[in-house]
Amino acid sequence: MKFSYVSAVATLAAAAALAGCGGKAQFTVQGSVNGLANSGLILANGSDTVTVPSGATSFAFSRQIDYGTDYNITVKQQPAHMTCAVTSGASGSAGHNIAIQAVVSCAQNEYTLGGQFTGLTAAADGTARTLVLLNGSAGGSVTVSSASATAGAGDFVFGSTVADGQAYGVTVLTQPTGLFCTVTNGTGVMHEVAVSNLLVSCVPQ
Amino acid sequence: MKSSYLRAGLALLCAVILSACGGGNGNLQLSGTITYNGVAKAGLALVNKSNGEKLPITTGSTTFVFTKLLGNDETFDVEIDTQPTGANCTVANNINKANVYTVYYVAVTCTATPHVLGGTVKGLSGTGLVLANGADLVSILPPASAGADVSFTFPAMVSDGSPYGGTVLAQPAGQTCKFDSALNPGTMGSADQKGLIVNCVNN
Repeated sequence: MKFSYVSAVATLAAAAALAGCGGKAQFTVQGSVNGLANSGLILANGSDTVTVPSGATSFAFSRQIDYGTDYNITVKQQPAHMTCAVTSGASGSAGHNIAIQAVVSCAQNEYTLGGQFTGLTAAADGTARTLVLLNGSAGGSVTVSSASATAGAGDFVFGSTVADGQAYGVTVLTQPTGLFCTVTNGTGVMHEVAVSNLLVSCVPQ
Repeated sequence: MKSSYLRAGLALLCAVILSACGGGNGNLQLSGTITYNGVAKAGLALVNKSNGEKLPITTGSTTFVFTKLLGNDETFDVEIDTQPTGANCTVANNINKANVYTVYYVAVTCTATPHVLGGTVKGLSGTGLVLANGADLVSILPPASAGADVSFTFPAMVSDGSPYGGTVLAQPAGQTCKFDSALNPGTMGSADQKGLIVNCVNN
């Protein structure tokens, strides 16, 4: 007797579950967000958009889509100072997986640091003279040689980029033999564009 | 008669093949990689405690290979025999039984010892001074009593052997400050560097 009740309940539950699936299943177009630290990010799925706030770790479009409907998540507007990309699950068909789970990854924009040098001439015997510029302990260094100069002048750029909002401070770590070089505009904060106004002037010692 | 010669020859051949593969004379090279955080410092030596072989490492090497070959299932235990001067090394994947899946993956990581970078600001009276070592910043307020020295340290430590170069990112109100060039820029030694001097004068 008891068993038949159990089975009756089970049958009912199964029926209810099936009814829940009735019509077409609905899917939320959603995903996770990594590294978003600024506001301004807008994602789009066709004409549908969602604004993702600073610090968010997930997003979901308000409009759900039917089983079998294609979706394609794109970045419509980048957040301030950052670049985001849909790194996985950007497009597909709803229902292909149990849930739509895209991944959006954001990284701070980075720009190059560089400038001009003057007075870095070769030694009297023709050997090249070099100097080493340093951007603090963690910002890398660049070796500048008279071999790449025209009449002692030329351009240089650090191999390591500087993130937007990060400070830089350039000093002459190694002076060229027989010359003394100083840096002008050597320190500042990276903001929106590459820095190319550093000026290294070398004079005979 | 003939067949017995053949048999003896075959037996010999088998013996040769077998001895080549097994026994104490292994054919597995115990090896791995070395990664460095900061500058690679001299003096590192590894030891395989299971057979006692010591292996001095050339400064800056990113790979190493023990010369004694290991047989299948022979145990190995690679440890740091001598730490380099000014750095600390650790080992991973270092204890196991030898086979092709274990002997090539010993991982040594060496981290140069970090030290404090700082110094003294002299003559500071205005507000707003910010010093930078690259992206690492320290804001400095003027002293309570005018003319007193103000000591400072950068938030980030600098590892032994790494270069540093302090600059003045923001000048204080009404003053111009400059790093003394005696110790700046420079290279971090084996102890804290708290000797940088910044001199400020009124505009």
